[in-house]
Amino acid sequence: MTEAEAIRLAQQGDAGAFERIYRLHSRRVYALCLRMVGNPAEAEDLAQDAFLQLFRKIGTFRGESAFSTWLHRLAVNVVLMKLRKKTLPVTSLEESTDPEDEANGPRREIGGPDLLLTGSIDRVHLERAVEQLPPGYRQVFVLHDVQGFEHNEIAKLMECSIGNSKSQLHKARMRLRELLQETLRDIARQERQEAKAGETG
Amino acid sequence: MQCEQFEQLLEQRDGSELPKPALVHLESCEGCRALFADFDAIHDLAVELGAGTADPPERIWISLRNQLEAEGLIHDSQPAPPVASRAHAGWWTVFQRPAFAGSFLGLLLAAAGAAGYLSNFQQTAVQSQLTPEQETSSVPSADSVFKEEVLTVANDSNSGLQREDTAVTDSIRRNLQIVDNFIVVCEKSVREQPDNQMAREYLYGAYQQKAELLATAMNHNMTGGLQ
Repeated sequence: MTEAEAIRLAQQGDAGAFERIYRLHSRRVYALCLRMVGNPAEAEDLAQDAFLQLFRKIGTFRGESAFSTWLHRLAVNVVLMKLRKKTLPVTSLEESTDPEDEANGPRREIGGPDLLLTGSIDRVHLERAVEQLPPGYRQVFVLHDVQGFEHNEIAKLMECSIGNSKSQLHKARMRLRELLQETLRDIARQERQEAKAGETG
Repeated sequence: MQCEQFEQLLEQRDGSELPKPALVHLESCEGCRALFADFDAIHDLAVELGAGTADPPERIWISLRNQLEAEGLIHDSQPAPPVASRAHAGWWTVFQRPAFAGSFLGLLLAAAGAAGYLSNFQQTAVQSQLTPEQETSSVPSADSVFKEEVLTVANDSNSGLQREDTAVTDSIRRNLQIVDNFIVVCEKSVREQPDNQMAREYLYGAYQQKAELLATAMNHNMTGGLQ
């Protein structure tokens, strides 16, 4: 069953078609929810909610936009609505979400003895680092770099200015860079210790 | 161009090419070159993350399907999803969080309502509508539990109206027990996560459902043993 057929049948209430659509998109929607909220239990609820809303509205889908885009926007909206209800400061991008930044300004390491990330980090490292980002940074980073939304779209979704979206993304990337460099240092330290232990052992 | 200007440029850049002054600066500044390369590395990996790596837990679909059935959005019962072959113990994890227990509980309570409703029908009418089927799936779907509840009442009704009333009473008692258990889970969730609005909503919903069950019980003149 193609996606188009599944959509047509789902609009008629066919259970198999609903499942087909779910199987096609659940991984991506769940990943989006998980990365946005950083909590598996909440991500499950949100993914379920997103699909529930999708299936309730599927009769109104007329195919003007790609189905995956439609679903994706809906999922993002579900997540953001949930976060707004939960804690307002999380999505209030007009203020910095990391108090340290307000106090100290962006951390600058330009010209410092940086460890180059290229070729040294993998997806697992990045995933862990993204989980450690403050919620506001994480949301913009996930929407822009992971999900591919443009700044003007993010600004609309998150009800902030385009400049603010850019600023949050930049800070998120800077923070990620720091976190990933820390990871690389930890790995290097561990390797040194293991080598030393090997020599003495 | 200075390093700070370069960083500002990076912040405002939106996928466009770097202007010539920035390229010149990059050639002469190792730190900014490293920053630029790191941002690229992060972006490239982030794009890979977008595809999603882990399959979502199967309980999302089970719960979603039950909800869709409860709302009448799907009409054709398909075979149970692959997870149906899992060990029987697995299904209970669905109920560890109130969000997933909601739709299931709703159906159970609908069963209680239906039990009361069915008791007013002629015995033969009930028998002709219901066909006992052996449950082949190890996962007790909501509709199978519903059917089981209704069948219990129907079977009891074979023995006469007095037995039928007993069956309805038993069914209501069982459902009250389920609601009470659900309330305990909800209260625990609310205590653990006071800010979780969803947990609160389910708790209120459970209280409301208990009140409705008690009202049904009173309509059947049930006395004693009910909380």
